[in-house]
Amino acid sequence: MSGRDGEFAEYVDTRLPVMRRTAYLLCGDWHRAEDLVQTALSKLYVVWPRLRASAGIDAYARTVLVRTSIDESRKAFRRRESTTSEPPELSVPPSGVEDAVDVRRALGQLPAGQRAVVVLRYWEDLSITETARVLGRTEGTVKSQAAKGLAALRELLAAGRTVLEGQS
Amino acid sequence: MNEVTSLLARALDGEPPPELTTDDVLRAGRGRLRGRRIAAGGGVAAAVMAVALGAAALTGDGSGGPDPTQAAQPTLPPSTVDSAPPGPSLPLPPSTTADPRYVPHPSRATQLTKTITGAALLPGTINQDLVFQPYNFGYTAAVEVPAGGGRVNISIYQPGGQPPSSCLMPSPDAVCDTRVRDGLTVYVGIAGPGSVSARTVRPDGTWVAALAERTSPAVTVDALVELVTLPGLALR
Repeated sequence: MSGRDGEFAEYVDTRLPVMRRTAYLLCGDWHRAEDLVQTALSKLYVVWPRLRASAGIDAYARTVLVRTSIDESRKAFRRRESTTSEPPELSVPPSGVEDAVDVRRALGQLPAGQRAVVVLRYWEDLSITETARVLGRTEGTVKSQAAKGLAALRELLAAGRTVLEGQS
Repeated sequence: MNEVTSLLARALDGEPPPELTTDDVLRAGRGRLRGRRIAAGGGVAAAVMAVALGAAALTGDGSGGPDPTQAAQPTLPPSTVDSAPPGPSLPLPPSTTADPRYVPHPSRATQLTKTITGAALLPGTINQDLVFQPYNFGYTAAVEVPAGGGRVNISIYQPGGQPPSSCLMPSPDAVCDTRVRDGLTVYVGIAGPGSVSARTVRPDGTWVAALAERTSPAVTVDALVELVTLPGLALR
């Protein structure tokens, strides 16, 4: 294995599980999450020689992942496969549905950009400035999207019986 | 904010084991790189063709000249075809295909777990939960740290490549540094309390990398340096 591949493999070994989770939160499907991660990392591989000299590899990877996810969500075939605003039919009453399902469903109803802001701010723990840089948006937009995203989540979860309390 | 993080973590409940491997990613990356080179080669060929056609048109006999596409053929020297960047039609470098990879064994994973947990370099609960498993061409151990949503990841493997020379701490604000311990050069990264990394390459080619993110109690960089230089981690 070449030096390039070896170092890249080391990075992938370390970061793949983390990126996979972030991708899942962005798209809501584990298979699609792995597709997103593979696409993002293969893009990273192309620019690896010049990227490895900097300390910002992960920031770059995160940016590629999030933007790829948003691009994918805009494609028509993805829209056809997206969840609808109505919950799917359940074989058990809603009271039996686990919290995880509620959260996934609520996340799935956020617009892609808003969802990305929520994931970057509250899962990746990025600052407003870092989130704006990743998404290529203004800090004002990120603040607004974060507030709207949280409000929407709260509303959706409250409607789905799970209450998100005390968040701003 | 922590409550929102916990909420998002709930969405990950029931996470299935990953199907995507490092090999898959490497294959996809090489494929994309080849595609880039083909595209670049096509661009160069198109540019050469355009220049050749332009030259043919300008050096024509003034009587309207032959069809530019016909003129282009004799104008293009054979070498221009070969001038496209190599790579797309070539096999992968021998170092990639011929490298005999290390084949991991569960028993060795158990030994590595004992070696590292026996050294007790990491905070108690993290150290206790550390279990190595075979992964691709080496071993890996990952421990989730519930407080703060952090994690510790240690990888020991034998890629057969050049020693690492860059800091891989996943943070744009990380401070990268180099330490030497027991004759081994260790590349370290420090992104804040509890978020540190260390990695080194053993004389036999074994790479040892440790990454701690948002750990509490905090994993220190000194502990990781000592960990990656522990005796008994070489795979060959």
